[in-house]
Amino acid sequence: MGATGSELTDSDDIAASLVDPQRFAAVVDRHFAEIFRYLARRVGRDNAEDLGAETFIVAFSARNRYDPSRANALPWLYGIATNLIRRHRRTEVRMLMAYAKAASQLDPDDGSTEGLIARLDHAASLARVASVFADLDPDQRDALCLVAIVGLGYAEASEALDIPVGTVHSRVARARTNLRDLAAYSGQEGNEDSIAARES
Amino acid sequence: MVDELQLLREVFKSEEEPSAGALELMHGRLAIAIETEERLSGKASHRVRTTLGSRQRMVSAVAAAAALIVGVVVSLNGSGTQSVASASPFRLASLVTVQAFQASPETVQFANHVTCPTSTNCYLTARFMNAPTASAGNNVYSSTDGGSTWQELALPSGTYVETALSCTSSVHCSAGGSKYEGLDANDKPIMNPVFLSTSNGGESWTVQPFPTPQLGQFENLFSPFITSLSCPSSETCEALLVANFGGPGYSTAVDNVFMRTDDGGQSWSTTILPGQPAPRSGGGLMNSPMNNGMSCPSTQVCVASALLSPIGGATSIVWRTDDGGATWLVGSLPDGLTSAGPLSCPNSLHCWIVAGSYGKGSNSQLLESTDGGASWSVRSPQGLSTTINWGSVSCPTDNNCWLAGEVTGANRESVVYASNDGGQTWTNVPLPSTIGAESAPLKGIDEVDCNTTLTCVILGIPAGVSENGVNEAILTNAVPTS
Repeated sequence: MGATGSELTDSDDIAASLVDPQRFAAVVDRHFAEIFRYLARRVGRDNAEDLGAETFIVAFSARNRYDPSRANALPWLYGIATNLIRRHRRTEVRMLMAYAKAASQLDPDDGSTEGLIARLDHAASLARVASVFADLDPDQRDALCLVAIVGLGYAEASEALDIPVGTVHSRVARARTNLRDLAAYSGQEGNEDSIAARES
Repeated sequence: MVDELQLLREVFKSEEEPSAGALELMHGRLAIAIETEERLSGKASHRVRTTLGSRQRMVSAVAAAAALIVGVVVSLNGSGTQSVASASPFRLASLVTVQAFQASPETVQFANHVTCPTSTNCYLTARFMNAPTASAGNNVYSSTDGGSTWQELALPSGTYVETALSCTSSVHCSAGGSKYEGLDANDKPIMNPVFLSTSNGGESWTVQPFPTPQLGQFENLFSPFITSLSCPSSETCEALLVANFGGPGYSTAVDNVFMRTDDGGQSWSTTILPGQPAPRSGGGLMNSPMNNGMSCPSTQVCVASALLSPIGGATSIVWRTDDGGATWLVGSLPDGLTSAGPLSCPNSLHCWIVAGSYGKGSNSQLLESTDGGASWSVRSPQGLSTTINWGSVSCPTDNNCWLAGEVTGANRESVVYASNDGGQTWTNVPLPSTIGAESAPLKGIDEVDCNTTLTCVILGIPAGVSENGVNEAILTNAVPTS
């Protein structure tokens, strides 16, 4: 079930698949789980199965345009998946809002009383970050997600998003500033009210 | 002080693993994509080339696979055995249309497009198992008995046709194809696009180069591939094609392009259909038109559709011209319908198209236009099931229409419905249940093509896996000649 030829790179398999399309299955085996996890985090498990499959079908149909100098296809696949997520922006925002609401309504009786205040503070912070992240410009959200959550380097994120490295830097920086400022601001405003307003 | 990124990572900390079914479905979809590509590619495997039928089959197969995995049970409509006699009253002509379909005895590897200019003369692009011509691409076949038996027509050396074939009369046909021009410096075959025509039923063919015009800085067409061809006369042909275009520093895109000749293929005018994403700088992926089709009820009016799938969202677009292709209007589809096509226009104002929602795997809606494709309305006529994924429509007259598709759900079953009252009521047309070496019913229909004499030919795929590579069947309702 594993990838064929453990020594081979994605680039090798993609090049070979131009003659023998079956070779593309190795790229699927190698990266499907990771792309699925990324999609599940952003749009939920139900959407992730379908979008995960669509990511690789799009990649298969576009493989003749893959840059063979890039041994690892993962950034390219993240880029395709990220673009597909754009059809599910509302799903993603709803998920983040649901997360924020759940975190903000954490039961204070749950667990020991030791460190209760710290836990509540932390839960409130998580709720604020989730709701503010949902409010970010989608381009900033994509860049921040790939760099901070997925762990791509700036160059890889640049490849994935098909934008210059400098633009990745500026989007991530802007996203972080917005996240910090808005989270602090919404903390002062009362997080539950802002969640209710966005959900209505 | 907790860093905002640490908090964000905690928000996204869950690590969901895909189920075994998800990976299985993924490989199933890949297998279908590979099969579709291999089946259609012939020699040059990376030129964009899809047919309505194959795209439909892929979508249907995916839907069926998905239904199996999630355990959805869909009740079948009728069972396909509805009595024709119980349908609404047929006019005299309709008695011919309900003539039972019979399978041709030919063993066919694949068949792409069929057209019948008369009640008995039909032409087909296909590859038969016993083809004397060792061509990797399609050959052209002709029939003089309405599609029961076929003869291969010899094409000029080095040429082959693809899906585009249009026949004006029993002896005059035009086709889009390619010509082998030797090997390039890397020993890869050079295949140049050509336009073929015959005026003697295929005894001899004229081969002319098909142009690749330079339309602008970023619109240098290359690798054109004609997907639909309509030739109302021996001089005039209208072609819908997909072609790559791009320019230095810009990504390669694929667009739907319309071309027209009024001098038998010597010169062509070209129009890039409006509303398609433009090329952008910095490389990357662009739109890939799929599932396109065109119906031209007159020399001036054509209606075309295509599924555009740029990264980030797929949607169908429908175009109409009433000035021979010089200008095009983008038609409006009802809200929520993002997948539309194939289509058929019996006259300049009246068109039918099948539609659905992209990604749902089903074109279960039937739309009608009475303003030549500018606007479309969903029809829910009597007798027509809504659990069918329609793959082909053919309306040769205002009253007579055929629809072919597959019942959605795990148990795929191909069905054909016919109307003889302009689409108000529809009747299930019985199909043979034992076709080909496997004696199996059809599991998919690529195309139904009917002409004004109400002769219909079906290109379909029998269920079961043939070990000798036979995977297509030809059915006809033509009355056998005695």
